[in-house]
Amino acid sequence: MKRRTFLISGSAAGSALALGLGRPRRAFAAKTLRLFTPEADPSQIKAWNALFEDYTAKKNKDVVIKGEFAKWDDITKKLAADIAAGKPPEIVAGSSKPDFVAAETKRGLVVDLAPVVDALGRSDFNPAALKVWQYRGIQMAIPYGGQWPVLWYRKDLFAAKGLKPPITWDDYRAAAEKLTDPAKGVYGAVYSAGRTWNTHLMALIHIWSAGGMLFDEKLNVVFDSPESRRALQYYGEMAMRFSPPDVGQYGFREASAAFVSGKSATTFYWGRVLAHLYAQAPQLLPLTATVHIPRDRQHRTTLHFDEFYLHKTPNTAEATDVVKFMFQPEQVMRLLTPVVGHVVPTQKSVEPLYATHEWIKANPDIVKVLLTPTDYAVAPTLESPQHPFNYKYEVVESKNILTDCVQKIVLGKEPVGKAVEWAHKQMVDATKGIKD
Amino acid sequence: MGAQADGGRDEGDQGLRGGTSAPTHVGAPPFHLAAALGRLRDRHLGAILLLPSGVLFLTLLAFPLGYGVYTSFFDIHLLDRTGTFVGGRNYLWLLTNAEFWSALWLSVLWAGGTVGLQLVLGTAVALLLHQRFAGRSLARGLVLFPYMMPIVAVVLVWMLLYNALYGVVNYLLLQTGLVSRPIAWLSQPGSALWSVIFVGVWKYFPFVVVVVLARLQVIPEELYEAARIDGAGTVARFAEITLPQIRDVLVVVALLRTIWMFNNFEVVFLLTGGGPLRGTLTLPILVYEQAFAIYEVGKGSAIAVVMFLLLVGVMTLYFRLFSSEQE
Repeated sequence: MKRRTFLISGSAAGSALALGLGRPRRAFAAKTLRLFTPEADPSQIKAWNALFEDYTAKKNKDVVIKGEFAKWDDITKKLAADIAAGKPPEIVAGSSKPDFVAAETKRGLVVDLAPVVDALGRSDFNPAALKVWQYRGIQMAIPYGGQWPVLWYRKDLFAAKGLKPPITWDDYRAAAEKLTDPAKGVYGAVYSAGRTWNTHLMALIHIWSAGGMLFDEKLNVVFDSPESRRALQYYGEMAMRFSPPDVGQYGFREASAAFVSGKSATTFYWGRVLAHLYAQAPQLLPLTATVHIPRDRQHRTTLHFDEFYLHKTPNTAEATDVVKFMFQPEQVMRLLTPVVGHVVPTQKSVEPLYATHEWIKANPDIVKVLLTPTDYAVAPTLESPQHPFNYKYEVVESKNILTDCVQKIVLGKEPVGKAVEWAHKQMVDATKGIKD
Repeated sequence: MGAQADGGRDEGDQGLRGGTSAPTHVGAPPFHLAAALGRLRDRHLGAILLLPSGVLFLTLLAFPLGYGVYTSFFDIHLLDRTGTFVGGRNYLWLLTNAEFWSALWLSVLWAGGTVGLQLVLGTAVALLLHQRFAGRSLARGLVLFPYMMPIVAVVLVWMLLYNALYGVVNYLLLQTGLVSRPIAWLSQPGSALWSVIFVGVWKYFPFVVVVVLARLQVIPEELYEAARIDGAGTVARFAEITLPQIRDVLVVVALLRTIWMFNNFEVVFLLTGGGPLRGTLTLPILVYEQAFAIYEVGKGSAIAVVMFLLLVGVMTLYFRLFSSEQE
């Protein structure tokens, strides 16, 4: 073969390949739906995959569901990147981010699920849970489980020091001081100071407990107040004196791991720790109990609802059918079982099934507080019953203003007043010009 | 000459055009289509062969680069995907933004620190592996281990090693009495950057080892023998023979590694996320945050464009210096 012929043939073949002539035909015509979720403990991934397979086998052989799993602190970044690429996942589950979903709703990206709620039976759902996911008259998502963090503590360590479970901040500070022993590598508290969502939420709980708020009822920033300063003074002290030395990097995972590994006598966390104890430290189960997060002026904790929501895509009809399947009591239970105690069902029809789970029955000291609905839990986008849905809150969270404020106090040793003043200004600047 | 060339082209073109109709007079040479196509190919074959590379260059390099520059002149929210033209406002914002300057400085420290230490450590290890000793082949294989490990695995291992509660580093320090409290290596402003640099050096120094070792192996042994005869000691042989011989590869390696480390995102992001207190926030992480966490794509693009220009500047300087020295 001449060199010229070889080059020309090669070019032709390369061009043909580049044009896709060599592309294999699709093996089958099934539609693939993407389901994106941060609810991704290994046991949860297994449960998700089993649910996906069941849906295809029993409900619709022409639909394949592909799970995509992410860290809590990455979910909005990944979703935003997908949306920017014009390829959002059809289904999102368990984001717990009504603020971000509202930003999507404002742009017309989200499916109104009110008809699905009606089809499933509106009266079966907790109305407060549905309300958290309503914005601009749209049911942005359907919640399947509610959750609030509590204080996990070691009964044996408290008893050894003659301590009672703490109720107030002062109780907790006194207990943490007695329990902290750096020489033995044991700490009395875990006050996260990483640039993480966990730090943001914990700081928020303390601010609310002291009587402070981020926004007033007209959604003006009111963060810089004596109450917020008092809360962050306390937060800083607990982080610097009684928490592990590397709390500057702590998020959800680390806060749970410190407790489960026996290195901290207490930690703030949601019910997921129960599953972590079963998996990694079952010997600690009988030594563990929970109480409500200690209070200052008032008891406060955050209230989030894990949810399903849909992006508007050509596959919306199929995705809606998947959501209807997932909300059948039997499927919801399969979804909740790997981390029983972490979220409480939002459907009355699921509650009896949930109550009979063996972990619930075997750990009354742990689950009592986790499962008792609290009247003082607050959704960050609805700081009080008088607040409208806070469409400005998302920017405060995404810019990490509160966590940066905490870091300035805990890691930078800045005076609390200066850090709070800085954060207040940041919040005002960031929310300027944001319209409903 | 130009006229002749033009004339030749005209002739050829006429020949090709003439190929579509029959010859008009008996005395004209017979026309061959294949030969005419052959002449055409002579002229255009090179261009046709370059076309795929050109298309790839335009689609994979020029377009993204141009689009990045274009985007940097707009105010775009990531969820909107459309924006308003703001001219050079994003660049003005950037120049007056303290976080940008801090990130630039941290990027210089990160790239300078990791590359400098990689060169020193890599050269030292290469010299060691150039010696004859039992198990040398095994050692040469093992030294590549950090470079071959997936970055996520590397980061997880180092996060565990550095951990304040159950990390080996703190355990050893506490056991030997060097410290009384564990050190929060990755979450204290004073130690985080150096801890991250250390991981960057550990992960990438094998690249320097491989390149320098290859160069060491082709230095003529006679040079060392002559130097020994002249009474040169180890240090003198290194300074007078080895170093000048490996100098060129060190310069190339330094350039490549500087570009790679300056653009490196994953090591710092996975270890510290840019914290604590923004103390390890390098430019690539700032770009990511601006575009994907705060959703301000235009500002993120402006930072990326400045990064690109900075690296082009460094490369130009390098090629100028290097080529003038070669001459």
